[in-house]
Amino acid sequence: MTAYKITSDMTSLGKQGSTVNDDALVGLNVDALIEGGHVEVVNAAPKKFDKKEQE
Amino acid sequence: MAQIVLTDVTVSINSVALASRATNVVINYEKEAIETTAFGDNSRAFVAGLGNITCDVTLNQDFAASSVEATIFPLVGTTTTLVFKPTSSAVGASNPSYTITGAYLASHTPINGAVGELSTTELSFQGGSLAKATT
Repeated sequence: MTAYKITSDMTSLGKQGSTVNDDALVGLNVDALIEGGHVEVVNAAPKKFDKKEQE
Repeated sequence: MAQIVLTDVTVSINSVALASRATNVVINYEKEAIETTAFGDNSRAFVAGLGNITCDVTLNQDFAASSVEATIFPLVGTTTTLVFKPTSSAVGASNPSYTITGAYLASHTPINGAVGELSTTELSFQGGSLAKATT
């Protein structure tokens, strides 16, 4: 699931600076929101490798 | 039921509040009339066919970051969700909301106006489904 930070004060998705996920964007054009400067993808922290995965 | 003069329509395009730039909204909700008239009938008869929704919105153009042009330009040729209310008050029987999902933005006029005129853009949405809510 992708998280998005709200970067403008013109969207009804939430307050500027808050974060929403895909569920809040159903039916919306996410690419257009990103291009329009209303949301940006929050880069997820890289997954920590489990020792078992490395072996 | 009171009559209403539109002064405070709520306009949301792709979740972006654009009422402060909107000057005209037309939602056209129709069902195709499929004729079923047959011999023996004395007048024409119809049943509902496919629904057809069109929505025209006029906005004062604004090229500022995250404003009209930044919001609308990427939507051309794609679908999105539109929400309108007669006033900015809470949704209710006298202030229903109209939500169009899957609205296709067929046209946008980034520059539209003559010398000395206010720059506006006229949006034409087609298709999708319309839901009216009063609660």
